[in-house]
Amino acid sequence: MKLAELQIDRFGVWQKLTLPLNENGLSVLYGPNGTGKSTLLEFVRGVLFGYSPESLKKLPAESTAAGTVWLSTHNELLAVSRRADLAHQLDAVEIEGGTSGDVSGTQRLRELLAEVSPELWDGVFCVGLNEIQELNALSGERVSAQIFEAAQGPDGRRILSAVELSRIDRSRLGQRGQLEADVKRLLAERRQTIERLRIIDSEIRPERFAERDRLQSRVVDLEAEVATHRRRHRSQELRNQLSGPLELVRQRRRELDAFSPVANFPDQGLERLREIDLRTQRLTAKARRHQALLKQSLGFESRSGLSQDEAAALRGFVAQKEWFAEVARQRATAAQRFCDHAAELESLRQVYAANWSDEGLRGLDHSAEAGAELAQLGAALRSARLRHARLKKISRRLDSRACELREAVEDGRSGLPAESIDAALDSARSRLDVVPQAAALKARESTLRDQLRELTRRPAEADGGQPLPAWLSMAVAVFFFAGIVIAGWGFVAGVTTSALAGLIYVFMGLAFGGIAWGLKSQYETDRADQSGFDVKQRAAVERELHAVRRELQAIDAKSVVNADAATASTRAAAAEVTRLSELANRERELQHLEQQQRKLRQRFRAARAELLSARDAWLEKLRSLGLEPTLSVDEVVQGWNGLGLVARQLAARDEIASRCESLEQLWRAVETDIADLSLRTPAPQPTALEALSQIEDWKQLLAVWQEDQLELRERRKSARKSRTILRKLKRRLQALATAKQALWLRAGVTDRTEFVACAAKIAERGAAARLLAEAQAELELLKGESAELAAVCDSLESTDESLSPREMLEVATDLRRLESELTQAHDQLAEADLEIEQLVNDCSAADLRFDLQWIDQKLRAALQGLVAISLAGDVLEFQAQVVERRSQPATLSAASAYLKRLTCERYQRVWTPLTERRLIVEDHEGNSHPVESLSRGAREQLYLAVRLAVIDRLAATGVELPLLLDDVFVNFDQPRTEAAIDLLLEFASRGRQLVFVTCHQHLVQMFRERGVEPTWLPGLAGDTRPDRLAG
Amino acid sequence: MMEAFRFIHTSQLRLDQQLSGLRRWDGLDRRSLRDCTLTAFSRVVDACITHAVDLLLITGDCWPEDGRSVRGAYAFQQACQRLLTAGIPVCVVVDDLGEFEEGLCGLKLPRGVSVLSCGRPQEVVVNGPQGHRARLLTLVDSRENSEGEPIGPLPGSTAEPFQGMGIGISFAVDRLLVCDTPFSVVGGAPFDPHLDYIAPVLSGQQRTLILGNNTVHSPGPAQGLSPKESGSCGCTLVVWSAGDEPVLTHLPVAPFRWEQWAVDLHAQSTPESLQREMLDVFRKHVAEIGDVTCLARWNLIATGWSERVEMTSAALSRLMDEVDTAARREGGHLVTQSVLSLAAADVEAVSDDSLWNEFEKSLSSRFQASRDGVAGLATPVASRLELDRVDFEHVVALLSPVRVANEALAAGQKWLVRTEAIDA
Repeated sequence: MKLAELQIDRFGVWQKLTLPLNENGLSVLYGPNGTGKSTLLEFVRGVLFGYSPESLKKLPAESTAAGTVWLSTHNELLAVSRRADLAHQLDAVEIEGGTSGDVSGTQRLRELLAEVSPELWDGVFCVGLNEIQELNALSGERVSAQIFEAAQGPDGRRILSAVELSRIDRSRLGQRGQLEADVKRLLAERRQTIERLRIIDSEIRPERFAERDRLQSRVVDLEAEVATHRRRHRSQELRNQLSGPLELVRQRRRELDAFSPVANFPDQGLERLREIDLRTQRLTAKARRHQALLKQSLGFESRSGLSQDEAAALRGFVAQKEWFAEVARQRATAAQRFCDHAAELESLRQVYAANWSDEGLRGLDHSAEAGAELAQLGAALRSARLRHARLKKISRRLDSRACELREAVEDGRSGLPAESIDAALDSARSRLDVVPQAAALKARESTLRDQLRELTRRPAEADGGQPLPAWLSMAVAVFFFAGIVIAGWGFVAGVTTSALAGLIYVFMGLAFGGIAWGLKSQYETDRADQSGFDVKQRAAVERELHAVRRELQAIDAKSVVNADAATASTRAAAAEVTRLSELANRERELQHLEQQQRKLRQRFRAARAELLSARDAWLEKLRSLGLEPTLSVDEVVQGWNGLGLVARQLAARDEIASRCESLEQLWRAVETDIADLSLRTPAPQPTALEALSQIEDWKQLLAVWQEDQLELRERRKSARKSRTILRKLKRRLQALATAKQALWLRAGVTDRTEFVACAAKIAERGAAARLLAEAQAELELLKGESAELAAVCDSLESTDESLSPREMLEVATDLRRLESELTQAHDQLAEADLEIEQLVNDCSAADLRFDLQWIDQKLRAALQGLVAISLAGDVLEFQAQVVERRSQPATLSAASAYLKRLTCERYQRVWTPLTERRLIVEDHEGNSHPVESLSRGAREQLYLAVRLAVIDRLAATGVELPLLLDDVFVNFDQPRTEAAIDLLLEFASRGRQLVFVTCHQHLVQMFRERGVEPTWLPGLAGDTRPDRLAG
Repeated sequence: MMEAFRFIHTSQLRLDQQLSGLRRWDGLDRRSLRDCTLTAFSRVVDACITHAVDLLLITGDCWPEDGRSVRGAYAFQQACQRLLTAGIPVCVVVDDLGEFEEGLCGLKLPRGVSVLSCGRPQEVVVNGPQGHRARLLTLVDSRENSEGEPIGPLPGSTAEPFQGMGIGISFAVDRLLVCDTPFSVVGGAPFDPHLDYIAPVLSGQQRTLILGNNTVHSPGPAQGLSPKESGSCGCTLVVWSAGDEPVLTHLPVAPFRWEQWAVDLHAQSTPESLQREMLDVFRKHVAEIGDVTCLARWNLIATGWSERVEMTSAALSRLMDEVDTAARREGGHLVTQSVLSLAAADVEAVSDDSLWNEFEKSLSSRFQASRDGVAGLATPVASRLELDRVDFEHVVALLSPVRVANEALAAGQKWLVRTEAIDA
């Protein structure tokens, strides 16, 4: 990778600077102090690895460091741009150009830099004045170490750095001494903890638990003994307490025993007897009351006086009162109607049936059927008459028409031959058909004859030299003369003017003549042809004419001379045909009429028969109805209607009369029934025997009767109830009597007096028993106060023993002693329990064990780290030795060569002793000098030689980066400076890029003399170009 | 009415022994930590009463390995009393009867507690409160082949049929050699068909083997006391119906669980994403195991180098604190013990680094070259510290070769790569 160009937008003192560099070779940049030379190198480092915070801080506020470094690598030119500022924490790098694919800018940059770290860049590829000054500031072994490290290359530097870190960590790890002290302390703690555990364990005395158990057993035994003595003592006390009540109980028992027992006396007998008596009294009084009520219920008298049957009968009439009224109304209505009908009947009879009796009218069948039959027979007679008359009329008409036709036909047939009219008509028609044909043939014949004549005449004309037609002659003449004229003119023109023109005109004239001649010839030729044609045609015409004539002969139309005659024949034939047609029609009509006449005669005979039959039926019917026989149907019908009317009126009157009769009979029956009933009822006799009013009276009587019935029902109900109660009372009284008897029987007495006496005795005994019970209750109460009293009491009751005072004293003494021993045992047990409780709850051993584990853990952590870091450090040291042994020879060899050049062969070789991290420089005389003994300049030269050697070694591994040198020759003398410059040029000539910045003009001059034109940095003193940042 | 014989088998009570390997216990109650074994055993007793078992079978070491504890013995006695009051018999099977009695510190066990030991065949028949019976037999020794591998059948059992569950107690079953197929026995016939369940006395891990007609089950420790006993610790409920195989149900009782979980560390990882992933892993496990305090060791499986995740001890400590705090905020109980970065090639930046590769190789060679393992590596340090033999042995016992190697690698990474990738 090479630097092609620097473009600074803003960095340090630079702003909008573009600085091209020599990619292959040495670029020398000159600028006095403060120009910004070092800033340029910082800029390059910043773009490649990131701007340092220090450089960013130097920017004005709100300013951004930005710039681009153009890199040349593998035929690609890449622009690496970076912008950064502290305020916004911005640091963005972009790479433009090349084929980066999906790789990020940062990654691409790392690839370009061959993964060289900033530290490696600073340590190898960038040698600045600061570094030189730092080197010079070192002394003693540090100088050698510094240069030695520089000689190790990246791996060596890493290893050395790692070794340094490991030494720092190993010493920092508790400053080893501290850690060891911690470990020892932990170990000591551990021992102490174990010792304490041992002590605790040794203090565990298993016999403590056994001792406790023993004490507990002793306590249990003592408690049992104490309890026994206490019971005895207590027993004595209780006995004393119970003696009084017990004696009282005994006394009461004796008193009770003094009473003789009364067996089987009913409990509370006297009370029960009294109760029975009381109840008996109450029930008896109640029975008397109900008896009185019963008597009262049974005394009842009816107000209406009606019996049940009578009342029922009256009820029936009352219920039918409406019907009775209706019957009366209908009776009156029927009577009125009868009168009306009778009057109307009489008036109708006068009109229609004056001679008719009622029987006759009644016997008259005036039903609708009879009327209809009569009307039907009348209509039949009427229609038969009409038909007969019509047929007769038709017959007459047909006869007259037949006569006329017959006469006409006869006349028509007179001129005809014997053949029928039809045959004659057919022949006339055929003639009629032939006439036009004959006429046509005739016409054709005429035409053919004309043609023939024409055809005959034409050849003659043709042979006769028929002159040309006028028009043709005229045309020929015109053409001919035109031709002559033109020809003549042509001749003249040819002679006078132009022969050619004349010739033309001549030919034109000749042409016209030719045309004339041609016309004529053509006409004549046509005429000749026409003549030939005419001959042929004439033969054809003749043939046809012959044929026509043959047809005519066949038709036999000799009479037809010409067309006019045909017309007249046709007309005559047509007239004949017409006449014959008419005649035939008439004949046919006549035949048809005759046929009709035959049919009519048949019908006429039928109609006549029908007429006779209808007349006979009609007359018969009249006779059956009793009517005068007449053939006037209308009269009969009209008369019949009137009779019917009268008969119906009579029937209605009879019906009404019948109805009146029935109603009258019904009413008489009602009146009779009412009269009978009124006689039978106890009600006062009505003043007028008017049925309806009678019924009204009965209605009121019935109301009274119903009230009586209700009252009677109530009384009966009350009587039933009283009887039921009386029965119950009687049963209960019987039961009470039985109970009383049972009481007496049970008590063994026969009467009340004995029973009462017995009860008194029992009461006395009961009182004694109560006293005994009270005493026993009192005793029980005492026993209930404590179980002890109860036990003692039971004992006393059973044994009745008593203790002596001496025994009682002994018991008390033993009890006191035992209680004292028990107290002591309890105290001892409590102490043992407390001790054991402390023992079982003592967590000190567990805590110590926990602490022990924790100590072990800390020990583990400390020792693990210690052992691990020691081990790792040892391994790293060993590895460093290996790296040193492996990598040093080549580097030092190259560094020796560079040193020889730089020092003008004053120092020949640089080497390092095995296992020592220091360099030895050997001069041209073979003397070895430690680095710290070299002069400042020699050290710098050695440093530079080592750098160049490391760069060579890195280049061999593929890491080729430019070398930036910032005034590194400051302490070089002239020859060595020149040697250094030559060396640099030679170094650059191997394809390496070097950028050398300096503020020394003599160096610039030296470079210039060697063909390297330095670049003067802008912003020199007095330079007022605006791209410089003001200081 | 239950038809089956039910008992709870718990092992390695180690009452009153303390947790070891704790590196952090911020947020934990010291008392809870101290009493975790007692709490676990109390929960075993609760489980016995809750499930109305017919027997509590205790195998393994009941007492701490570093001394006697009156507290532990007292807790044991009280628990047995509680069970007997509930009508549940207790059977304790111990390796050394004398040691067991010494551990009781003079306390007497209630009547109804059967103590069986090795050395001679013993038999005890227990009747559960439901009327079911079981016979426990101590199986003295197994016949071993020339290589000391046990082969069956195990003598000590009886051929007489017994109407009830046959439980065998073996002191050598834990030495069974298990081949590729997990239920095979090295040589020999299957075990005693009259036994339905075999309880190994000495086993630090939970596992179940079906050998012939027998189920061999070790419930593992009731409370895991060190990171080596990670996972679910508890007891086993065994339900046996005549003629069927026992049904084993694990009952977690330990108040603390050691867990080792892994999350991926890749190039896009950030502290926040790591925290989320770790919390997700924790939540998932809590959903499976329920509410119990997890003492977690996290392994970051690095598949790429993350520039945003600092591997410094301070940053990892912060991460641990944040994860624990977030878990507690959600009602969980998590105390992270360590965060260890594990990867074969976890840093891309150094995968091509020859210097780093050489360093790793040299370090590995040192470990391989050390004949005494970590003792050899620690000898220089021990010499500097002037440790006596006892202390030195103890120090060596504390060191873990893996962790030493990781720390050495982290230190080398820090020095060579300028970053701190250290086991916090």
